[in-house]
Order: sequence, then structure tokens, then C-alpha cells
Amino acid sequence: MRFAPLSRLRGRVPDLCGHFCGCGELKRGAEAMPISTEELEGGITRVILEGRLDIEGAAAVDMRMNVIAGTKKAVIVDLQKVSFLGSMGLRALVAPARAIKGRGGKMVILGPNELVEKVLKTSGVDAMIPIHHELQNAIAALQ
Amino acid sequence: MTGNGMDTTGERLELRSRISDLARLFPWIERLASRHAIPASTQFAMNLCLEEVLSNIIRHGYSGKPDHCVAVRFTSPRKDYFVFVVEDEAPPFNPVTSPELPAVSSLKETRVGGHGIRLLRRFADALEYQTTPAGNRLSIGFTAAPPANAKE
Repeated sequence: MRFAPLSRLRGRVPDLCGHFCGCGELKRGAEAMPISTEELEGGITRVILEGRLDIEGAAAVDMRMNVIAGTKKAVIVDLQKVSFLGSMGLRALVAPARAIKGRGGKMVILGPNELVEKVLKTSGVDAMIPIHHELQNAIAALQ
Repeated sequence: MTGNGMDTTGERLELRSRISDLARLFPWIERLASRHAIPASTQFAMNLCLEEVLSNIIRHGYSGKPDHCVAVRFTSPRKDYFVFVVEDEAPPFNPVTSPELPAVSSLKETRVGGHGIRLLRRFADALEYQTTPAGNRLSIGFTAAPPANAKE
């Protein structure tokens, strides 16, 4: 195994994977995009995202979202604390919504801010994943 | 100094063609927004458009090959108007005239992406494209405006 001389590493900022390997992997992880889940009555799972659903945020939540999409049938994705949504973030929402629908379930979005909602509407994602601003309405849509 | 007398020191960002380098974009725009009193809604549009453009250059223009360069220059040619000029050395691609995929309307559709050009055109206030001897130059203009004025 070859190691880079320290003089070459000095002053360099490691890639997001935390290495100096240049692999370019996105591993900002939980600190980039906290994700938590809450089980509600009626078999509904509320997925709470927080932070920026940008290219890194999407990478950080992708695996958890895939697991949720593969195991849950009624899902509320709570975007109330999401400050930014980019096109990769859209993918992170659309792919699980499609998987859940494929298993006979449904996913809805709760509480996006005005700009995040504009991204959802501009892309047409709101026609695929209904948007609600009240938790009660989101729950009712899944029952 | 630029032609309009604006000091552009520190208002140029150079990225390597790695997705991980995009982590530098948001803090840079945040600093610009603070320095130039850019409203939050305009800052949001800047982040959205630049993330889209830069990630496309890295993933498609450079085909994911690392260690190419993308440069972004920021200017404010007049009050409340901001321009980012993105230059790369990738094969020609004109996002201004490229066809826009229709908005998705059903979960039965197979694609999950394809929103980039649509979002770019809706959130930017001006787009201008030129080929250069080395590659591409895309200018993206933003007018400071409240979110309610954003184009539909």
C-alpha cells in the first residue's frame, strides 16, 4: 500500500467521506440531514426530515428512505424543517413514493415551506405525492 | 475590480469535477448573500440553479471524471441584480435551448429525474449561453424579489 507524503496532505481538506482518498463519496450523513421516524396510529409512519435536501442531503437519507419504502405502506414525509429542496432531493422523495405505491401503499408530504412547495409544484411532484399542511389532513389522506 | 467598480475579491469559486466539491457551494452563496443583502428567496433560487447546473456538468459534462475544473464568477451589474457565470471545459451543452421534459404527473412514470432544466428555467430570471474555445459559458441572472414574485 502506498501512502501520500504528509507534505502533500497538509492544507488539503478531506473529501466528504472523511478521507484524503479523493473518492468523492458523499458521507455527510446524519449531521447533514437528520432523519427520524415516528409511528402513528393506524399503521402510519411519519418520517421527519430536517435541513437541506440538496445533493448531499439526498445522499444522506437515501438508504433510510429506501428501507422505509420497502417496509411501510402509509408514510407521511414531514418537510416542515426542510429549508431547501433540489432536484436530487426530489429523487429522494419520488423513488420511495413509487416503491410504496408499488406495494399498494401511499406516501404524502407534510408542511413544506413556500419555496420547497414551489419546487414540488414546478416539477409536478405534487401530482404524484399529495401535499398537506395539517397533520390531521395528511393522516386522513392515508386512511 | 470589475467594470462597475465592484470588488470581486473572493467572489469566484473554482470546483473540481467531484460531486463532493459541491459542499463548497452553499457556504459560498451564503457569504455572498450576507455581503450583498440578497433576500432568502433569491438565495434559495441561486442554490437550486447552481447545484443543478454544476452537478450536471460534473456528472454528464465531465462524465464523472475527477480533476477537471468548473469556475463560477459572481457579479452584481446593478442594484438588486446578480449574475453567476459558470465556465467549464466539457463538450458543448446548451441548457437554454435543450428540450425540457414535461413535469411528471404520475407515479406510474418510470423516470425519477429530469427536473433540472425545468427548475433552472423557472427559478432563474435570465439565462445566456455561449460556447467558448474550451467548452461552455452559462450566465444565470437573478433579480432580488420576494418568493411571491417567483415565476410560475
